[in-house]
Amino acid sequence: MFIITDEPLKAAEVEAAVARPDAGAIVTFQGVVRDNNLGKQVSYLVYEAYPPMAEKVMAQIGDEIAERWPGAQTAIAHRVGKLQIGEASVIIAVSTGHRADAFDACRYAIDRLKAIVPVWKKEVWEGGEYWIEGSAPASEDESAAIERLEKLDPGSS
Amino acid sequence: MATLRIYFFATHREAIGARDMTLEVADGSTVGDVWETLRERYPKLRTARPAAAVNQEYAEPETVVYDGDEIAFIPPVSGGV
Repeated sequence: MFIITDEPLKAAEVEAAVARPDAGAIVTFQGVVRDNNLGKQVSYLVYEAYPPMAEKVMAQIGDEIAERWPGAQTAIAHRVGKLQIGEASVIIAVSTGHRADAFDACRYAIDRLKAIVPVWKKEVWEGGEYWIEGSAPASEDESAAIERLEKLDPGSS
Repeated sequence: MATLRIYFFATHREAIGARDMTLEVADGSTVGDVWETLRERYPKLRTARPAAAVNQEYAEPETVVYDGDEIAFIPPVSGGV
């Protein structure tokens, strides 16, 4: 499951997409809308995507994970439209045989998503709004996400 | 001539005032040429040349575009959280 949707996200549905008998671990990550950023009080966020390409790139991240952590299965759902404080903007679930891989792979998935998936976030606060400009996708490759992982846990490769 | 379908997002979409448009360019034009044409036509597109995709795959500025291609200009992404 790799979807862009304007409906509220449900973690149980994303987790169900990766559940299987030989998995000993499912790690789920939820990104939720925070009420502040850089000292400003955020009213709400608006997410916009290039849906067909975003879904393809999310599936590509799933392929990268399956290659790096054999047997891992990944599902990603990203919401678009207006999101209120506390609502989930993205849910990622990864299932693997053992827990360490599931944590690492899930971390890899959100880092890669933020770097290369064509989705944009606008912050709206009282009296203003601003498109957040994050990563320039052309300059990102898999090694950057792996480096970030290895900094967290030098033992994992 | 090559007829392209062009898509814009976030800051670009707001600067141009349209989500998408049809554009005719000379045969042999590249992704970079298309961006320069748009910058001349829409002075509000002040940003440096962004990443781009051709037919939903990331492409280089030197990538040649063909009749019927779908081009998207991709401002720095900020999905997730």
